[in-house]
This record gives sequence, structure tokens and C-alpha cells, in this order.
Amino acid sequence: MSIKILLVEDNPDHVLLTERLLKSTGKDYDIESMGKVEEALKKIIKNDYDLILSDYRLPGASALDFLKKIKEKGKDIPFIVVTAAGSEKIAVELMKEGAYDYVVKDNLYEETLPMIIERSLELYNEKEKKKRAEQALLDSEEELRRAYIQLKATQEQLIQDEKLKAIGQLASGVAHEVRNPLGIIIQGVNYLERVVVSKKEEVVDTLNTIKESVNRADKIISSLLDFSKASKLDLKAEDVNSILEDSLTLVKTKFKFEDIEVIKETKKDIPKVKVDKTRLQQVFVNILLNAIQSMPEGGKVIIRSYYKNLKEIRDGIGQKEGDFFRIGEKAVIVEVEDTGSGIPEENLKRIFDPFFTTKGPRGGAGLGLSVTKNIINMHKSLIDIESKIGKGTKVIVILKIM
Amino acid sequence: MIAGKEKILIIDDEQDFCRLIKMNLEAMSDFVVDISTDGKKGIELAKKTKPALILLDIVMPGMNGFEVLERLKKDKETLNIPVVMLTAKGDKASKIKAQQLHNEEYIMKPIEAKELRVRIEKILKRKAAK
Repeated sequence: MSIKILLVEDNPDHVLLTERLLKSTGKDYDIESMGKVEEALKKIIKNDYDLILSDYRLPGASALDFLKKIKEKGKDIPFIVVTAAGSEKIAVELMKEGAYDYVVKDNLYEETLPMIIERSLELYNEKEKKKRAEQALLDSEEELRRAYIQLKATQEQLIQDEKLKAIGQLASGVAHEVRNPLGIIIQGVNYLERVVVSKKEEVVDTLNTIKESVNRADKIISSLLDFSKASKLDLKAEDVNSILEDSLTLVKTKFKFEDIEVIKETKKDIPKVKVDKTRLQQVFVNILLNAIQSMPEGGKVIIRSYYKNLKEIRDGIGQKEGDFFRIGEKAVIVEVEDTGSGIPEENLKRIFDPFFTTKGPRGGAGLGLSVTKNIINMHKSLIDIESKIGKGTKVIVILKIM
Repeated sequence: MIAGKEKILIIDDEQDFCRLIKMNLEAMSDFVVDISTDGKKGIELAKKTKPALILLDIVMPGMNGFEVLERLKKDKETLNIPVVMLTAKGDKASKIKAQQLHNEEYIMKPIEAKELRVRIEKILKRKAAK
């Protein structure tokens, strides 16, 4: 393959001389010559030259300006400066700026030029080899880094899975052992209700309290089992609006909606989400129940769904290791807003903690939102709660699209 | 056997639970309740007394509820007796296993006597209709 050389020289005699000189070496040089810097630059951008041979003094620019402009265009081509005798100092300056070599137009020009060209080409090849080796090193480092991140994520997932599995086994063992005595207690109460024929309010109340407590304990066991259910999800492409609709129907069958107005602002034609339908339904039911319970005097529940590009960096969105979403990633957002009492800031911080509750002993085990958060985490999705005392609360769920 | 009264057999290792179920069911319905706190003996009793329905626990020492159910359903003498799992074990796998072994229903402990009575009556009505 021929070596493409661009000769930048405004003196036609010098052009001829150099061309002749290079041809006489017998090497396969493909030489093009240009007299003006601007035109030469255009050529350099369009073509792949193996080497540039430039006179130091060019019309309207020096070789130094020319070299700077080539660098600005992002080109790294061996650049040799041809200078008049006595201006070696300038040539050295040029080399500091990135020129590969210089050749003085003197008596030895004919002998030194081919040698310097060969040396510069060798230098360039060495540089390229080094660059490629460095890049390969960088690439393998990057590969290693990625493999490490992947390994770490898998390890964390495994630890999490194992933890959940262990909690699950423990919970189901405890559930069984506790439900048996609860079964006996409730039968015992049923027996007493029949045989202790007492009109005494205290007796009736006590028996009822025991029954209610059994129910409460049973519910806590159910939530605990829910909390610890294995991390395996049945992920499929689902329509978030129909899951919302099903959840609402479920909640409506259990709770009074007389004084609550439900406003649906769900967008049609949003992409399907990658979720376990039953688990997501559980999330929405939990959120809706909390909304209703925050409005004992009635109010509004606004349910929104839409599709958007995530632009802001926040917890879980960004480039950090462990972020579930990348900046610019598209996601489906579900919002449930109520006009209820709102949540004080100090409670908001602990709202997802297991067993944290403000509803009192009869309100539940305080596992609802931690189960919700757990399910959302398992989906590698996000949940956030914004609230203002006296104004209401907004729960935002950010889901992965299929 | 008391004429007209339907016999229920409960097989559960929790003696107190069995005793209370017997007292409650007999008091609030026409059922007569037999008790067995051992799976193997429970099968023998079922063959002997031919109850209208069996309430069966799962976790028991010796022969567990699934084995008992399997044997009852393999035996011509007991094949047609509806078996209701009455257990504190609520996991999906257990429910599926019981279904595969042809249980009639799966009831979780704790349950109130009244509800249990209603559910037993429903099963028996369904069976009679067949």
C-alpha cells in the first residue's frame, strides 16, 4: 500500500524538487501538494494522509498555525516541518507543539528527508500501537469494572433473596405455631359465650375483646407472611390502568366510599409496565386504603397515570451504582393524591419502616407501607410520598416500562 | 350412633382444640363429633364409623395430614367422605397439595365455631344434592 503524503509548499520549484527526491527513493509514495493552508486543511479533513510535509513559511500562516489548526480538527498525522538553514530553533519550538520532526533545506536535504520521513512514520506506528494497547487496557478495565458491578449486584440480590427466604421460613414457622393456639383461644371463647350465660356487660365485653385480639394477632401474622414472601416475581407486560381499576374495585368492596370522590386522571395509550400484577395490585390497594383512612370526614382521591422522561437526578434516578433508573429513561408514573389530614415530617421519614404505625394498636401492624416499599423495590421501581399537614398526601410510584 | 345425627370426625393432634370443637359443634348443631389425635388411628376410626365429613389437620406427629388424606382417598371405604383441611398452615404449596389429593375445602385456623358450622353444613348440603 502506498504512503499518502501531503506536501504543503507554495514554491513550485521546491514542490518539484521534493517530489523528485521522494520518487527517487523507490518507495511507494503517493504525493499531493498544496500551496495554501486553508485548502490543505480541507484536504486533510476529507482524506486520510499518512504524513504531512510542510514548509515553515506558508502564505498567510506559519507551520505552527497550520499544525495548531490540524490539532483543532482532531487529527493526529505525522507532521514534518521543512525549514531554511539556520532556523532550527523555530523547528524545535514546533516539535514542542507536536510536530514529529524537522528537516533543514541544506546540502544534506536529499539524504535526510527520506530518512526523517521513515523515522516519523515508524514513530507514528509506535504511537498508534501504544495508543491501541492503552485503549485495550482501558477497555478491559472497563469490562472488569462492569463485571464487578454485575457481580456485586448479583451478590446483593442473592443476599437479599437469602434474607427474605430465611425471614419467610421463620415467619411461616411462627405463623403456624401461633395460629394453632389462636384456633384454640377462639374456640374457647365461642364455648364460653355459650355456657357463661351472663348478661353482665363486663363478661360480654371481655369475650369480645379476646376475639378481637385473636383477629388482630391473625392479621399481624398475615402481614408478616406477606412481608417476607419470597422475592420471586411473575413479571409480565401489564396495563397499569387496568391494575389501578381492579385495585379500586377491590377497595370499594371493602370500604365505604360514600363521602369520597374518586377522580381518575389516567392517561390512555401509555406503555405497558413490567410488573407482577398481583403484587402491584397489593401496592395500589395499600396506597388507596391509606388515602381513604386519612379522610374519615370524606374528601377526594385523585388517581393519575402518565408516561414521562425522567430528567431530574434524585434518589434512585441517576448514574450511580444501584440507581434503578437512568437519567433520560422513560417510565410510567402513578400518583394517588388525597385531600386528607397529611403526614407530619417526622413521620414521613419513618413511614416505610416495618412496624411503624400511627393508627394505634387496632389500626394494623404497621407493615402495609413497608410491604409496599418492599414490593416496589423488588420491581426495581420507586415510591415516594409527599405530604402537607391539613392539605393531603401524594404517593408517587415510578414503574419500569416493558 | 344417634339416629338422624350426622357424624363428624376431627383428626388433629391438638387435643384441646379437638375437645372445644366437639363441644361447640355438638352444642350448636345436630352433629356428633368424634376425635382422633393421631393420623393413623384417625383413618381406622373413619373406616369404622363412616363419618359424613372429616376435619383434618396437616402438621401432626407421625402420619401427617397429607398422608392421611391420600390414604383416605385411596381406600374405597373412605373415598367418598369429604375431607376438610382445618389447619394453621396457610402457604400456597400446602393448599395446592391438598387440592391435588382431592380435599373438599381448606379452612385456616383460627376460625369461629359458627363459621365452621356454616361451612360444614354447606359442604354436606352440596354432597347431598349430588
